[in-house]
Amino acid sequence: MLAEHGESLATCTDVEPVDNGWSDAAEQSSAWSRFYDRHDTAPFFKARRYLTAEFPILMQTNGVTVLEVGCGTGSSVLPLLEANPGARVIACDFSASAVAAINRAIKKAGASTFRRKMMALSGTDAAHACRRSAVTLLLVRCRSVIARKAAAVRGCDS
Amino acid sequence: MPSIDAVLSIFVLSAVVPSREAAFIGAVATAIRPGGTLCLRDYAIGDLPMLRFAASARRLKDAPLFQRGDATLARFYDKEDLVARVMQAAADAGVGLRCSDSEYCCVQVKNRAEQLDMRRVFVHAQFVRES
Repeated sequence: MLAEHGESLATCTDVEPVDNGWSDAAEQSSAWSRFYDRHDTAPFFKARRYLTAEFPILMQTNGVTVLEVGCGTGSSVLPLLEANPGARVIACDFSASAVAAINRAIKKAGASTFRRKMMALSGTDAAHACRRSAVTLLLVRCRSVIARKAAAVRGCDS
Repeated sequence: MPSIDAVLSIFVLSAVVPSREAAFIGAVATAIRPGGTLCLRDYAIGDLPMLRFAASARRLKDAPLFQRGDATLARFYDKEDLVARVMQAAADAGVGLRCSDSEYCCVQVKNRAEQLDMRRVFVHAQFVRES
């Protein structure tokens, strides 16, 4: 399929570049915040159910800990927790609206008892924060209620 | 704070400001425990939006990087280039990564209502932290 793109690609690279620079990191942060302010009622992106098949480590059953840098409204995190109830996820995003939307989704799924500390930081800052063991942005505990609910829906709740 | 077995960066690197890209990769790589995995998925060269952007969006100096109307960025990656830059940026941060898997994923998305065939192309890559 890549080969089929070849011709249109050639056209694409002929476009005259604009070289008056890109917005800086702070502007990017607020641009993504505005994006999620507009799209915070429902997940804007489809649930990425393919991730657990594409990245086998996510399905490790011994309580794998996953850091998602740039979690948006949970298109990756929520399907991951459904697929692997043993996973523990720390998720962060530029946008406070996005993180708030994930928290609402978790609450809706009945996970209100989870430990949730929330703060929106840039991806870089978040990774630094994790290294410093200082900040947990959104900690979704294992044995997630989301996963149990999903299992119940599938009729295999134990 | 638990040690991190895997870092997910899904359609995120493409939105990072180029001047911060190396720092971002370095920070993320450092957060992974030795033996842990960095899981990347992002837009690839030839992806449909790139072809659309070419006609309409603002293209920035460091091609192929575009700024959408809402000011967010979208970069489209060549697989080998992405792998090389991730490993270099990690190495600069003192982290040894080994690329265990990298491929282009071509996805045909049909929009039946509008009779559209959308050819999406993504880069998928996994790196294991060795040191």
